[in-house]
Amino acid sequence: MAAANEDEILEGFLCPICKADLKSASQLTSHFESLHQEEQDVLKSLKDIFGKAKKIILNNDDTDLKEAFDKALKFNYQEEAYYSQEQVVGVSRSSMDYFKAVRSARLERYATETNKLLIRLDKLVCNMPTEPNQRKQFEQQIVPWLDGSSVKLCPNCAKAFNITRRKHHCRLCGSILCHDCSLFLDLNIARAIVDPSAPISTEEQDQESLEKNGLRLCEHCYNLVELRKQVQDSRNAKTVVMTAYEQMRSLMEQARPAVAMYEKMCQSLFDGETTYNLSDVNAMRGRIGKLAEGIDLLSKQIAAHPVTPGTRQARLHSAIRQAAAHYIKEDLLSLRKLPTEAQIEDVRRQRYERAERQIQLERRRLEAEGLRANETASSSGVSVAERVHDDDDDPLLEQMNIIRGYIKEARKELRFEEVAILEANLKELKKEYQFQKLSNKP
Amino acid sequence: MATNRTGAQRPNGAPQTKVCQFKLVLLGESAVGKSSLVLRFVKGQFHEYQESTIGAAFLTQTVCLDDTTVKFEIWDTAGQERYHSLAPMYYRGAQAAIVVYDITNQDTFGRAKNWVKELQRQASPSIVIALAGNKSDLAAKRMVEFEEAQAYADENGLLFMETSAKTAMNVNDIFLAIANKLPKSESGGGAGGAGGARRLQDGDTPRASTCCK
Repeated sequence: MAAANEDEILEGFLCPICKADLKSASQLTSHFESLHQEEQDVLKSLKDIFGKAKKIILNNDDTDLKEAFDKALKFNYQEEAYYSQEQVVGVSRSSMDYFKAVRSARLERYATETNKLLIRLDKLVCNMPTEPNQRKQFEQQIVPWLDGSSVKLCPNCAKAFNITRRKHHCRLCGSILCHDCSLFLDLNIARAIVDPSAPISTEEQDQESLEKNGLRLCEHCYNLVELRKQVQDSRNAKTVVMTAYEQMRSLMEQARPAVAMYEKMCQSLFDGETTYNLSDVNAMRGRIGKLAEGIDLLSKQIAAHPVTPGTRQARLHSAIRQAAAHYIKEDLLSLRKLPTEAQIEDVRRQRYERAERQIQLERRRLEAEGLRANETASSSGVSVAERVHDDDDDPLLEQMNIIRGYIKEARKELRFEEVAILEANLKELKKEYQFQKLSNKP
Repeated sequence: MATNRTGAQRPNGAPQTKVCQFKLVLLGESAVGKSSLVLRFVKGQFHEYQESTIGAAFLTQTVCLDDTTVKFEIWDTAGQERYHSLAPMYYRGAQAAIVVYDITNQDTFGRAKNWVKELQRQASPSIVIALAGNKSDLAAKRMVEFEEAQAYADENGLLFMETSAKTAMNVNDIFLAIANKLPKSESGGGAGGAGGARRLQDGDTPRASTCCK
């Protein structure tokens, strides 16, 4: 990352000898002492200067530590007098503040670094040219690549570069690495990281195409980006309760039209219509029962989810359960009672008789007008004999059979709304057929 | 036919997505691609060798507009001459019709014009008619010019699009355009809540729980 670019002003905890950036003062000191031991004599004079510089550079963490340590030592001196007596639990002091300070500094560093990487990732992903030749140039435009002429070993695995082990660059920080140390980030995942609202395509890529299309990253950058993605995912992940609640809502959404349909079918039975059978309505009732069962189970699951009692969450859970129970009781279990077979028979007979009377009346009226119209049969009486002699020839009859097939299918799949539409059409067809028969007769 | 009974189930009166149901009929010469259009719209499929329709096929499909759910009750009629007597039964109560022709065949366009004329004479006066020039993927063999059809559609107040069931071009669009043009009032077409609003409504349950406490 510390690019050896002459124009750039290097900043940070740089080793005066190898110019490596060491991130913190303590690391720099230990690095200097361990790696540049033999050079210390030569650099003795320099060390004074370094010592001064160190005082200036030293960040708060380390001064804090020093102060804290000094304070602790003072305490110890005071306590010494009591050592001869019975020992109680010694003085303890919280290191929380120190820990927090160290931690926040580190997190801050990660955050700035991650943000820098994300900005670069955004630029890389958004305007990525489709041409492979242009892509390399484009990538270098966004992130300057480290000049690799002086790098002999892979900085990660320390293996020498040669014809078979080529130098590669991390697309996010521009550092050099070998192929074995490279990690690849799928472009689709990269897009999802940059823009979480975008839909994520879930198609899995095999390693080969991933290496061809994905972004080559060093381990460090990859981990930072991956961490960010995990945070993102966990933020968007649904809790168990949420999933159960959503399932419950979707069951309720299904139940609403089912209940409406049931009411309609029930009414139709009571009215003596022949659109639905008793078994159809019973099947519908069974389905509503199943939905109610499902809603009940899910709401119980939500209520049983362990939470601290008395919290808002606990109240919410019990409220959901109550609302669900109420909904089931009021809307799903208070369904109208079905008529018995005998009742239906009764209503249908009444209806039939009414229709008969109507026909009789009509006939008499026609007779009075001097017209004999014996053929004005009721719409329910498509005579079987007629159907037999010229079946498939008449497109109307053909269509009636098609519709009957559709009705059977729709009934089997409990799509009663369609049954009603189709039944209505069948009736229309029958009427039309009847009409044709009449008009064809001389 | 579908009476709205959902009101009784929802005394809290939460706003509900309106559900409208419309009868739509497809007309046109045989082999212009009526069934293929419907199949593409309803199931997203296309069969190179679609069997010819017998009588009339029935399918349903639901589309969501901004505030309404439109449920299409689609009657896909057979184009063959012998089934023409069935067509009036299906366009009679229809709120919408798609008249289809094949852009590679001038005769089918003439037949489509006849269908439009028949609809204007016989069908409900408020029927929404769309003209679909199908097989636009075969533009190389085009025999009916786009401008000619567009001019005819403008003259007769029809919706017009060139479609391709094979590439799915404009298929959803033409159905959506029809859905948008249809009147969405309750009387608009036997509309009812029976289809059920598929959209989740926020604040539904909380409201129910507050009034029952």
